[in-house]
Amino acid sequence: MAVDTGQGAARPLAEQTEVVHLACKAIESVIDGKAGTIRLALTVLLAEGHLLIEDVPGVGKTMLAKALARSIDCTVRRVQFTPDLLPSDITGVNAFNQELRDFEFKPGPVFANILVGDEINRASPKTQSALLECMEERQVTVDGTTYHLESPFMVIATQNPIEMEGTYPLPEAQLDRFTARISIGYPSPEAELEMLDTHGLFSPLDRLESVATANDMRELITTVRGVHVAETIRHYVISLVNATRSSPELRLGASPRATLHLLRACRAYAALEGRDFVIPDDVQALAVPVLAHRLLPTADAIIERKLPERVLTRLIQRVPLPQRA
Amino acid sequence: MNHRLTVTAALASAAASTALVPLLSGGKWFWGGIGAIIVVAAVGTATRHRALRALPALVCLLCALVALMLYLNVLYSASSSFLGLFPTDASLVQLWRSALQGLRDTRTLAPPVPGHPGLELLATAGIGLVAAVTDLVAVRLRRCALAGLPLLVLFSVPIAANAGRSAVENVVLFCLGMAGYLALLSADGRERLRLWGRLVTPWNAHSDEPAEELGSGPSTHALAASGRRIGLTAVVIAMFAPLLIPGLHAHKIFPGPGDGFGGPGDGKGAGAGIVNPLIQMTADLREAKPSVVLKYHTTDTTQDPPYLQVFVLGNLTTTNWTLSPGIKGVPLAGGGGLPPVPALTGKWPTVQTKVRIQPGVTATQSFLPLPYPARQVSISGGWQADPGTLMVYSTSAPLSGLDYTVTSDLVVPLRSRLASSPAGAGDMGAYLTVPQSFRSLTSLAKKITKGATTPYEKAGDLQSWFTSGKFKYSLEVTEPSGAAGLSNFLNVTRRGYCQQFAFAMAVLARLLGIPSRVVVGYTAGTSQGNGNYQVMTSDAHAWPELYFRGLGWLGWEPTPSGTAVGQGTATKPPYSVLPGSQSQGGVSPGGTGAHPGGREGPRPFQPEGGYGRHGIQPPGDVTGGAPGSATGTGSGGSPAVPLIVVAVLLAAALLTPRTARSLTRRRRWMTAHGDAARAHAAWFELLDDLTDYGISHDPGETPRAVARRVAAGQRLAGPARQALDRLAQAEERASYAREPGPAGGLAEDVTAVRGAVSASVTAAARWQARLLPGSAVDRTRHAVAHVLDVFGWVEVAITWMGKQLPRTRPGQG
Repeated sequence: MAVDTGQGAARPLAEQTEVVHLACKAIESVIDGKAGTIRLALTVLLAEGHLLIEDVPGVGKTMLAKALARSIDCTVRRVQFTPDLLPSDITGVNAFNQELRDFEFKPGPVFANILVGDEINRASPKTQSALLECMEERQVTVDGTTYHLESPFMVIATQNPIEMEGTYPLPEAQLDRFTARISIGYPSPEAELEMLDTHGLFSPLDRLESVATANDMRELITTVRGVHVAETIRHYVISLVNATRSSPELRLGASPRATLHLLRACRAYAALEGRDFVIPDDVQALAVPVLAHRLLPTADAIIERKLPERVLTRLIQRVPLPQRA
Repeated sequence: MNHRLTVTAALASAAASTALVPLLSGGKWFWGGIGAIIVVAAVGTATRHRALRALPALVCLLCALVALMLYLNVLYSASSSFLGLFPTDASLVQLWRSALQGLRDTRTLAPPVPGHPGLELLATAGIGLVAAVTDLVAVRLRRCALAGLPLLVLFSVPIAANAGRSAVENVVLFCLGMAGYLALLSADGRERLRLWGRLVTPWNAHSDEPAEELGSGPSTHALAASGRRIGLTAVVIAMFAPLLIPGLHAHKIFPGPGDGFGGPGDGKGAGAGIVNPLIQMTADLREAKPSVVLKYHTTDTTQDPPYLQVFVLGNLTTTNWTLSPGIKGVPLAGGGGLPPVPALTGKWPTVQTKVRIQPGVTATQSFLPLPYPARQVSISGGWQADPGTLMVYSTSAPLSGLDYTVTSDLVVPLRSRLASSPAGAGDMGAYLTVPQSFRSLTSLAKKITKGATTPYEKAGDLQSWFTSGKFKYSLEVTEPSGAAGLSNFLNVTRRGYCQQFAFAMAVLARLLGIPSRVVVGYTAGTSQGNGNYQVMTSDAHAWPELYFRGLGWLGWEPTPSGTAVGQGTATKPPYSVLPGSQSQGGVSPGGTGAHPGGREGPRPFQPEGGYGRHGIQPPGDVTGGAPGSATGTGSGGSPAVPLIVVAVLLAAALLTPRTARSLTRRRRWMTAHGDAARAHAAWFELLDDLTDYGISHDPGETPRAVARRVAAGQRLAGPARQALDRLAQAEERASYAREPGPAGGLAEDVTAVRGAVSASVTAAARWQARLLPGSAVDRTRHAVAHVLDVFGWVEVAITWMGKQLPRTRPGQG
């Protein structure tokens, strides 16, 4: 099975995705029992998206981000977001070079393949928006000069949903830039027990070796773009997105950007599965992580504890699969 | 203030008031009602003004009623009012009297009633009252749905009054009323929605405007469509359910006259604007204290005076006898001469009858009681006669206290002449018309008249059969209308009063080829001596008249007579008693001793020559034979035939889903060409199999999700599980991949999965899958539902029309 990317003879898809599976296994050695979450993170990477990891402290958000970054041999930067962080601390700054007697651009941490932003909601909105602009446009403009970011470029941001004191929650428009939001959740007792054994002796992150290169990722991203999406699947995605817009339990439905992100993620998911075509199961599997953080429930739904995830799950059950043409 | 709702409530009242159209002719009552609605709406609006909003609802209603009273005073009793506007004692008394007169009219007049002030007053007041309550409930109390109840009152009036209406009229009037009510509900809905933002209507719901302009919140389009569907469904069900549900017919609220063969909904009733003869007659008969209707003096000293004819009902409809449609009024000639007596030949003695109608007799009755056949009526005023029936009537002159003298022929033919009267209708063919529904009684009529050869013998046999003692006289009958009611009367209940007897004999006569009609009027009454007679309301009567060539119309008397056992003063005409029939044990003609007031008994008629013929069969035999032949042997089949038919139908019904399932399977595989098509066919075949075994699937379930669930639920393993996975993958590839996978062996996979699933379900589910496969049943149900989804089509039509209309909105150019 091969994907025709329009760039000449292509390697078989299974061979191309082998590196991703290796990366998956590598990360699993760090984060035990979270194969699904890791798979989702890799899906977002291949879908050229950005990932928001939202969970309580101490479950391994940063660890996941670091492990993902380390498993791929690419440039990684980490920024701890704080209220006094400035936009130029992210994007870079023009500094005067005494030797050259000219201003020289000092790239910020955003100039990397993977940027790990810890506690993104602790930064000021000004800094958040500077980062989010980079995420969307994949370029930085400083003093009138535009600098393109590297490819692949992925932001893995984490935020803590319970310590809201002194934070600047991301507005819906900025949340929309993230392809997916995932939670790691507590590990199972067995996984936690194993964690105690391994983490007590050494840091597994230190032992993690990169299994893929940036070039592998670039090639895979190109492959993912060529994954086939049948007309019926497109209609299905649109039906699902429209259902969120007309649901009486949702105050805000999914945006067209969400539709694009969902379809891209579906392609990546299918590729990771070794398929060169998307099936409705991909859409259903990704609908919640890709769409849920963009939806706003109504006041009634909140009172009835109908969170967007629950509303989406019901919509998935209700929206019929499109009939083939 | 809410003017939209006020106007809609007023319109709804006006629309509902059209329900009275069948009751009243002329337009004055309607326009009066519209005026009343306007007055009530204006007062309602005024009482809802900001300054008066604190008034309790009851006070508002009282204000509306006072305004209504003032309006009625101006409209109907302005002459007695102060300055033509303000009520005075005299004007109120006049209003009161008019209302009482109207109430009296409702008891005596048959719809449609022409301009009677009393009735118009009642109609206007009623419409105003309904409008006041509707306005109060709908606008003031904002309970629009409940406002249907007062509107319903207007609809119930024609039903209670037994107004004859055609089906088209019914539908049109019902739709008008319903349109008003739905408009009221719709206006209420609009007002409620308006509180939340701009309205969504068919005209802007489909526009291409950005969603932001339509206001925030979820789309109400589906809600509006549901509303339309519910409204349409309710209206259509209301219109058609009475047609489909057997026995659900409109019944009068109070059982009363007209419940016999001419029961409710009996067509046109008595005709335009005249007293319904059946209502009048039955009301008279049932009066607890009979009153004197008229007195007369007759010069006929040799015979029982003939009955007094008032109405002649020559038209037999499927439900009733009614006046002949072609009645023409011919003004009386100079000296009161009537048109020539139809079909009567020969010279007959004449008698003079001086009639004085009692004062106070219902003034609206304008048909003269006359002995038949009258030649001349000396009377003042503008009177008209109908040449075909010799009914004399006036559209203006009242009857109360009327004096007139009638010169009439005394037609008492000899039996020999009657017997020699040839058969055939001559020019009276119209009086032989019998609706098809009555035809089943032909066998009974022939049974009764078995052996009779001439029309006269047949008529005599019929009369004898009715008066032979098998029938009981009772005023308390409520026979259903039409042929079924008549058959029930003749064969089962055998209880009735003159109306039933007259109707029955006239129908049977027609079935035997003898022209007949029903006459409503009075018996000769009670003799006061010296040729003076007194006719009471209890002498009201109906009897059949049969036509004999050369002799014209002759009355017959099938109703048992006598105070205790029959019509008190009914007597059989002398010529109608056949010698042979005297031995049948019937009530003796005349019932001499029973006549109240010392009525003179009839003199025996001397027959000219005997009729050496046998009597008819006892009624009991007839009952046992004729009806049986009509219902049982008439069908001509053995009892096994229906059973066989039922069995065949049952077998067909049982086999049909199974057959349909097999055909679907065969067609599916035969039409599947290519890998993709075969993969789809295999998958849908599998889904149908699962449905047959009672395993449903969600519309959003993907192939591999179905496979997962079925494999887990039915505990499939081994080859069946693999076959199931192969089917799901094949369907996935065929539906979503660039190229479908190879489809070889899918049919076998389907068979394997079917077998495994069949083994995993209960025996009952297996049998159900064999006999009533769910997929075939569902498909049939969906097909039928789709065909019957007229509302969906209506909605499509509305949407289409909405798109055709120019998309300009108020406030835009």
